[in-house]
Amino acid sequence: MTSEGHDRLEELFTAALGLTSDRRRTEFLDSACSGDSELRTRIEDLLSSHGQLGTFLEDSPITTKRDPDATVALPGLSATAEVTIGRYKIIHELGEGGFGTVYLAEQEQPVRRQVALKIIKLGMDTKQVIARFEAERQALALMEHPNIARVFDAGATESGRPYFVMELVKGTTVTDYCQRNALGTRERLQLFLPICHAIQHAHQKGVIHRDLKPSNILVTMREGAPVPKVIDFGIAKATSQRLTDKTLFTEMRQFIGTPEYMSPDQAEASGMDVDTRTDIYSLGVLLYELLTGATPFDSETLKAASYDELWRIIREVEPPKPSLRITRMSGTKRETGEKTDGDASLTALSRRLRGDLDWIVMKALEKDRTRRYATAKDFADDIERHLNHEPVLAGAPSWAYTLTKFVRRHRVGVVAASFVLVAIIAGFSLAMVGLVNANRSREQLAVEANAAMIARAEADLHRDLAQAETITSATVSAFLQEMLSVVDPNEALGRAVTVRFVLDEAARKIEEGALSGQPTVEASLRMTLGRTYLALGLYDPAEKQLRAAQSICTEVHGVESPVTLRANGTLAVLLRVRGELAESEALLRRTVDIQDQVLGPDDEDTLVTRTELALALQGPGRFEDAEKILRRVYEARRRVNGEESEKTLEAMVHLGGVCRILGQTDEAQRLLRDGLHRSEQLLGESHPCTRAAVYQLGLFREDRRELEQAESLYRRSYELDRSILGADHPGTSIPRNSLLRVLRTLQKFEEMRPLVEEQIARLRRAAERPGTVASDLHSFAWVLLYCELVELRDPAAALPFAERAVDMDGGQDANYLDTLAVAYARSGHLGRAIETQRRALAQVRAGGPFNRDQLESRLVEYLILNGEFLEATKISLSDVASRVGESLISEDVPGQSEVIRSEKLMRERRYPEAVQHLRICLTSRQKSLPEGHWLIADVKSRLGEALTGKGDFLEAEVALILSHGSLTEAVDVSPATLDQSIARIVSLYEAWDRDDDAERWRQRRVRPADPGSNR
Amino acid sequence: MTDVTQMLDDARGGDPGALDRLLAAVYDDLRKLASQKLSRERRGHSLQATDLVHEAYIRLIGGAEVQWEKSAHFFAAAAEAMRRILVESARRKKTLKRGGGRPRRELLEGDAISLDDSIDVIALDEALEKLGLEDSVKADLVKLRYFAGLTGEQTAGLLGISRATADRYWAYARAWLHDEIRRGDEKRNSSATEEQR
Repeated sequence: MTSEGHDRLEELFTAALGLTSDRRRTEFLDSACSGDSELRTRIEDLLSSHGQLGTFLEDSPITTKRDPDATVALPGLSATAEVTIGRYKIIHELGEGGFGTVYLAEQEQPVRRQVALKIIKLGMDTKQVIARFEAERQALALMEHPNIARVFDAGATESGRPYFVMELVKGTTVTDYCQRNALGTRERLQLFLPICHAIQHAHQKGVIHRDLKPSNILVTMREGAPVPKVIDFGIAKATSQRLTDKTLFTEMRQFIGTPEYMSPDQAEASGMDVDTRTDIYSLGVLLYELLTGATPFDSETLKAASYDELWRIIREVEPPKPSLRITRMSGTKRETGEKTDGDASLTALSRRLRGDLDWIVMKALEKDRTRRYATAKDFADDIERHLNHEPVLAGAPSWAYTLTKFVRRHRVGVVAASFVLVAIIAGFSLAMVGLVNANRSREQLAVEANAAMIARAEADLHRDLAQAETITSATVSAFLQEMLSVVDPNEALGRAVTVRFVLDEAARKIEEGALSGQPTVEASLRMTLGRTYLALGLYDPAEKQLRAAQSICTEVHGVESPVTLRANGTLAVLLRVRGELAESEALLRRTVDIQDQVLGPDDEDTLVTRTELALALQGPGRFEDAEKILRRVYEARRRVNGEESEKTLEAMVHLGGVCRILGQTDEAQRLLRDGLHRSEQLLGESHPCTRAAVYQLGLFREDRRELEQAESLYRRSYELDRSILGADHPGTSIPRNSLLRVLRTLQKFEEMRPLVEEQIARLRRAAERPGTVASDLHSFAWVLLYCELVELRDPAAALPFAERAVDMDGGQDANYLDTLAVAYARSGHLGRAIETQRRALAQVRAGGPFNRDQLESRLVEYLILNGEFLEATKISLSDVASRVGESLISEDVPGQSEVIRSEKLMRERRYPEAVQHLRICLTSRQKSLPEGHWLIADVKSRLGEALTGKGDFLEAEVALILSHGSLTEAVDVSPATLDQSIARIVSLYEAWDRDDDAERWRQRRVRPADPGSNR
Repeated sequence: MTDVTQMLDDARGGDPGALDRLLAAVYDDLRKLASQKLSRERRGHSLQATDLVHEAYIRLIGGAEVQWEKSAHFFAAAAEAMRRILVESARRKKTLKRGGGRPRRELLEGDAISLDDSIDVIALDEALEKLGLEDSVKADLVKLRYFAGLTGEQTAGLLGISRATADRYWAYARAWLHDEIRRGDEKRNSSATEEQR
């Protein structure tokens, strides 16, 4: 339709609309449309639409839910009339609170300014209110504080309601502010401090607020920084009435609005005996709410409570500590708005609150006001102490507590190391993992991120300090002294005193014989060091310490001593994670046999060893054996430790894992799900058991091809491990590799990238560090050759590392040689690849644990690529050559799977599809290989063949001739490849009926037609 | 002179790029404004397209005296921007309903806008586009009234037509769009039945 058409239609529509009766409309349309039935239908449709319009397009398209009660009109006043109250001109309503309604007003005299004017609800004795206000006016006038909104005036409206005039504060309530900006705990505390100072100021001027609550503390922004302002000073006092009068209760309750913030003193029967400490209590409630998102007593409970019950709760019931409150919130929604990613961060938050903040809040909330902070300043000071990691006054400061504080004051760097020392002496190790990470990456890692770890370390420290106290020998004291001097910043002279450094120093000192007179202590410290290294994933030094510890123990305590047996167990764990499964298993069997006899099968140590044995058996694939053992352990755990214990849950997850492998799907699912659920609840998100369950469940989902779910579980597992163990920890590689595997299947290449990059970076760091070892060099070279993302592979960069690995190893390890050969082949040095691969095979023949077939097939591949067919057939009499197409090396050439696919398609004469695959392959090779690489030319040549089949001769000719040119110029091209390229050109010209050209090219062939080249 | 005033001037001078830039500026601002407002005034306040547009106007153009005629471009841009916000929001909702994955942060922001559920914004947008191709004045009128929340009188002023004409056009356009959307629905329904067979 044109705009004229619309105009015409509109004209008729409007005219018809103007006619009121149906009959006249029909007549009008009859004549106006005169036989144009289409036009007529159109207009009738429009008229019918018009009838159904309703508010179509009349209302604004976007609205938010409107609360009809939100605004209360000023009684007796129309919206247009100008309203003045006293000297104040009302501009508009600002909001409504428990007391009454607040308006924005303008004062004309003596100064022109905007103020907030609050009209108190009906039900107050105006005279009394004003009299009380007048009594305090003097004191109020003395208050001068940046965090207090001043009260200017009070009066009565014409209708006899009291009103107050205050400094206008444009802002949101403190709780809303925190929520909206998702402030962290520290920021919340910092915002809370000036509120305390404001209250302190008021108290010094003799003013008690009496009604501190979030709605009376507004946050405004000044120069980009939040400034809290306490409002309504003096108003509660002026409007307060005896709360004991039951008849007034309903009204009072409405009036108070929020009993959540009322102190027990205010709730006392006498009711009027209230001093500054009532404000301290309310501040405590406020802090509680800022930290947890909830008031100490649940609002719903209070609302539902009877009069007597309400007062009883306020006076008698002890609220849960903030950290506990958080724990209870797990699973339900929390409302502080602090950035949380679910229960994980709730757990972390709970840990943050545990200790100091619990104590501080609970001290302010003491029912007995003499036990609260005496002043708001004391309250603030204690919070500042907490923020500075100094011991707080609240709580019970034991020496252990003080020591912990001392350590935490210097979270990262130097004194984290002294913490490690204390830990070594105290004999615990796992807790340090987090500290090490804080230390290792202190630049990029927010301190807060490790707060949870430190909190756990702290808890462990508490537990283990008792043990530390028992070690009092002079030798240990001297050792400790010496170690402390290492840690001391003055002595360290700017050296980077890392946790690793302290551990190494301690190990060195022990090695030098610092504890030689004290074999028991030496063994114990070596065990601790060994376990710590093990936990950190530093297996070499761990092995050294654990072997030494084991041999000292055996010598000093004897073979059957529980201490020796425990040393055996730890050493076996290390051997297992290092992959030395046979030795690990043997040691574990020996140990568990003795433990069964000496300690009994239900002993903790025995159960631990038995579990380890099951894990060691899974390595070589003896899952049935492992299952039997794990069932036995699980049963024992349930019996000995109970259903809800950490140990039982761990056993449950282990058993679930092996059931999964054995295909006992239902049982695996039940064990893993229950295990995860309970472990989350009881142990928290970051507990090793929860992490293991998450990972196992990921494997379970992957088995069932529920890949999206598997991905999300792996990701969760990976992120937890990464934050707890660190990106470089070998343990983190496990979920990372699984996640990569699933992502690749799901073709989420973009998401793989950061993971692969992290993997490469980790291995690079290990390979490039001074004092690196052959295995690290090899791993790095390997990842550069085989990593999951083809575009990140870099054979040229891998080459020097692979060479160094072989050099350092002296050419002993067939693995290293094999990798080096691949690096040579991929960088185009086929001759050297062949030579290196032969060396690898020689090593295997000398008797190395290696898949010989694999090595041979690769060598054959190199030889064929190099045109040495005779050599290739000599290598193996088996049908290796036929496997070449699918050999491992082929898969690792970028786009090789596409090539194999295209070969199959061409055999089936599905040329267009083959073209597609080859184009994909070409793109990926052009991206990942250096320009002019023969593999690019090779795929172009294949593309030419497919195009020939498809009948696109012109394009085929271009591809074939160009690629042939590149192939003749490229290095390391085998004669066979070159010959194939010519054969393809010949076939093209034959198909194209250009016989002369075909014959000309046929002349250039070196070899007679190769059966594989031209189908 | 703010950037926006400059853009307005340029637009008036016939620079087509200026209009695009203006649109981008207004669009950006409206989005921000909408999400801010919605989070701030979740409780107890209504948010009207008009308020948003006017607030954006004041923020972008400031207190500068702008001739009415000049601000025609602004409101056109605002209406267009509002239309885009709504259509995007509706599309996103549709995608989410189909299970189009977890909503990301940026999506949530737009979703804070609660659409008038009685209107299929996407269908309306399609119908409006059709109308715009055939009769741009009537389509502009709808955009200004519906998306920018202008009154009939303001719209008439901006489009340079009489108030009476504007009202007539408005009644016609509403009926036409309503009819058009209905037709679209019928077509979709019948083709859905077709597929079922």
